[in-house]
Amino acid sequence: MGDKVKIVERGDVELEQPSAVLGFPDVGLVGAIATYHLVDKLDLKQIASIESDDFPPVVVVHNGRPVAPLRIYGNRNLLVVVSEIPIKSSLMHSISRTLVEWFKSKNVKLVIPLGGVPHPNRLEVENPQVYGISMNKETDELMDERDIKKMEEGISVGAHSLIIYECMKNKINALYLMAESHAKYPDPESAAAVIQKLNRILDLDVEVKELIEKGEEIKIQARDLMKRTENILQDIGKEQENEIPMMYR
Amino acid sequence: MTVGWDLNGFLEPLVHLEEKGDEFIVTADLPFVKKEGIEVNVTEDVLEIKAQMGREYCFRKWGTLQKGVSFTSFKKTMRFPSPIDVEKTSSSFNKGFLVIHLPKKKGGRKIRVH
Repeated sequence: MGDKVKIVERGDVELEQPSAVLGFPDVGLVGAIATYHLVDKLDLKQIASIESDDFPPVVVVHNGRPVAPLRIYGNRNLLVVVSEIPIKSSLMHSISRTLVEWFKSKNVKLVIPLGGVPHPNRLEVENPQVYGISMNKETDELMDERDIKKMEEGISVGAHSLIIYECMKNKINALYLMAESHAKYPDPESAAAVIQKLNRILDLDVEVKELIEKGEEIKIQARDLMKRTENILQDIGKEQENEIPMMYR
Repeated sequence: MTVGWDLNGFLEPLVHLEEKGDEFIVTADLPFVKKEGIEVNVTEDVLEIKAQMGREYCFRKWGTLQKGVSFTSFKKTMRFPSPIDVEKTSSSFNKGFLVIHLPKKKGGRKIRVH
């Protein structure tokens, strides 16, 4: 399969070295919940869609109109990539490559995928910790200054992981933020935790109170996406993240 | 693959069955539910969870006929891969999650090795 994924832009949006935030459906739907919240609270407009003949034949209806399930929202300084469908394993590489090439063409200065990292006793965790995978000293500093713990060794699986790797190859700064979360249940609290760190990195002021207050509602609405995502996570071997990596020095 | 619902106002909760040593552990996510609204029935082979939501929930803009449905409760029935010891089951409800411990029924007999 070649790179059949394309970014279809709509209208002219002037971008000024924006940052890009992504949240594909993954563990606890942390990134998906967080990116929907960002789009809503920052009142971002859709500026592009991600399309491919290899995507499932799905169109989402919002406000009475059909839209693509993978969309890019944004303003001058910020791009937010959302997906209403889980990404199949066979598409993860081409989506990641295409997105990062597009980011490069738009002079994106920092890419931040948002996700979850499963905690086996999540019910006992009051304040989910946020961890990061950083790609250079510059992004290390971004994490250190904001008390984000660094993942030093391990295996990271999924589209977000491929995106930071593509960013590294393309010399775009990237930082993968992951909040401790439920693995198989939507986790709005973890989405709130990751947004709080994002606020500090990008100097945003996105309120997260609503994610907590409307958490139960969000969990009901996210049930089906969570179930579909769970099947994909199994397919891509997400459980490898719990495996001890072979170390060599 | 979807979780499911029906026109009578039932939603199927997200539920997972985990086999851990001598027991099965069932976890169910039950938003808007209070402990008093939960009913769990268990036999050797089947678990049934019913849970009343503390409020009606309606997706006012969703779909076509779904718009008119008010969801009021969760319902889930599941079958165990092997019989469980009904008398030893226990459950707890914390932060919207129902966790049920279901010890496996011990069967068989020791075989002497010669």
